[in-house]
Amino acid sequence: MNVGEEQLVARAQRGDVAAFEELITAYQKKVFNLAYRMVGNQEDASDLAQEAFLKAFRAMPDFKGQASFSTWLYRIVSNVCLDELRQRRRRQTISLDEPLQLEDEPLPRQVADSGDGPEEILERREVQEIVQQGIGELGDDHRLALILRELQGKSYQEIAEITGCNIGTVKSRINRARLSLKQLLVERELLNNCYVEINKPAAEGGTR
Amino acid sequence: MRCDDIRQLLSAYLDDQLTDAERQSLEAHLTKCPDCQAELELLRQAMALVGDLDEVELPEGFSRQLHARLVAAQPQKVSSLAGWGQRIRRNLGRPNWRTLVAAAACFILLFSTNLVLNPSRAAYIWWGDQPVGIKTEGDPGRVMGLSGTPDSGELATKSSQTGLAPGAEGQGGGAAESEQAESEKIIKTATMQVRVASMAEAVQGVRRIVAEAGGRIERESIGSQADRRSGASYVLRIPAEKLDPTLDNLARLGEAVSRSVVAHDVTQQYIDIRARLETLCIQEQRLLEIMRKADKVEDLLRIESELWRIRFEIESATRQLLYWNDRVEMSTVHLELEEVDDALKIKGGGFLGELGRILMLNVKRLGRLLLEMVKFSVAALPYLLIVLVLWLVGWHFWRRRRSPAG
Repeated sequence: MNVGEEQLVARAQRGDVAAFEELITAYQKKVFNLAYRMVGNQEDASDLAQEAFLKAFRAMPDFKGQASFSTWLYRIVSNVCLDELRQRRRRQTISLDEPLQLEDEPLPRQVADSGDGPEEILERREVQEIVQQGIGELGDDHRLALILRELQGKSYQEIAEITGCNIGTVKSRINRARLSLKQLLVERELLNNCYVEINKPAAEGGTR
Repeated sequence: MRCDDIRQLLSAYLDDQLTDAERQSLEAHLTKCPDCQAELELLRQAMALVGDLDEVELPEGFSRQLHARLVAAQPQKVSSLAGWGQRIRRNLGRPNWRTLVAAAACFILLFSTNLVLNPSRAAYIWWGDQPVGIKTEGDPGRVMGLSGTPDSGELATKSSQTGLAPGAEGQGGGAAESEQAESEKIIKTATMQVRVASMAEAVQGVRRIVAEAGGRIERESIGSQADRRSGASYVLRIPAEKLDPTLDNLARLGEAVSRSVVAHDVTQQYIDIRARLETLCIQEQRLLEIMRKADKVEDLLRIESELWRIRFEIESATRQLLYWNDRVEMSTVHLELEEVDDALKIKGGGFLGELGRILMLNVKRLGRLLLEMVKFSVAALPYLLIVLVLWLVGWHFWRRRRSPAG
């Protein structure tokens, strides 16, 4: 934590909104993206990100500067997302006749311009949709670990601090998330068929 | 290493998280095993797809909206007291409906446990009493037939006369027998429970009935019972010949729940003791005569001590006879009065009427139950305080664990 951030933290702890906003400028988009990949739609992600920032703002006085502000903030965001998913599942178990809502929303409306032609964009969209769906099918903890690792570029150590687990657990979660996601993508024929063919007999024939 | 073990390492291998030894054996395996190679390649491709996911732009107005909410959440400059309240509220968290339901459930559980542990308070749901028969114990023939069968023996008794002169100063046998002494000696004890609508009226009624019968109230206690219904208990002494009509009158005070009369025949013992008393009196007379003639101090002393013994026995036999006489003349009635709810006053109306009564009664009892709950919560306050402190401590640690302390 540099001196400037320290001062901002101190001011934010006294309830200074401007200081807090400056503190989180760098994180707004990242946090929103984390929430978006966790819950799979923008509206909820926006709500969750805002809720997380509000929570962080209220909890500022409790921030003692032992962990980095980023890790602390990510921990709050992760908890907010996990709570939301847990509640959502509870609601779903209650309303059984409500059809399970997979992401029927078209892909992100505001994607960064990748400079591709319209056809490529369309294909990219489809692929991304399938990948996002696959991520959505992982367990909450696995999904969180995978997103933090692959999309937010966090180290194992950081992920351990964010999720409050030890490194071994993080390792195993990432490993299982990757294996499951790979399997899902193979089933949806997104991955190179030739490898699928090679892989198949091995999978059927056991370990040898 | 087997392929299974290798595959568990692939993910860490991608992130370069393996130890040197692990990495070397994995790489050695890969050169030999095309399956695992393919697996690794698939994982790489899959992660490439994930990494290729576009970063989503913030929705329009996100920052603006957040700013507004932050400003609204900004802690105002507040007095220290309100600041305390705010801190407590923050520490407690915002209890959502689930917490409230859980708290309410705990309360009801505690309360009902308490009800079960105090059975006298348990009878809050009432759906009518089972009909109670009126039973009469003992030998009804004897109870009813106070026909004064003449005593067979010629034995004289001192009965009440003896009582008046406990010393029995030589009145001798063959004294006049009272009519009563000749009859059978039967002690009757009645027990009766009556439900009444109004305790005050019933108490007046009992006093009136007892006075009319020429009896007396030996013990009267009026008060609340454990289950908060008022009640009264009596020990009455009623002349034996008026016992049954008196019981009938008492039953009319309300609804007789139970009524029993126990008859205890003591005729045989009575005759025995009377005979012994007779003998003792004769013995006493003789000793007195001997004493008059005696002139040696030694003899006098011996006669005197014998006389003492006999007089003591006379006294105790006399007391026993007097006691029996009293019991036989005046029957004992144990009377329990119980006040029932007003709803019971309205009688009749058939089945519907009964349903109405039951409903009314239970509404009243529900009110009482709620009052009990209020009392219970006040009573539970000290315990709640402990629970609250434990909760605050637990919450504190839980939050510590969930969110970084900084």
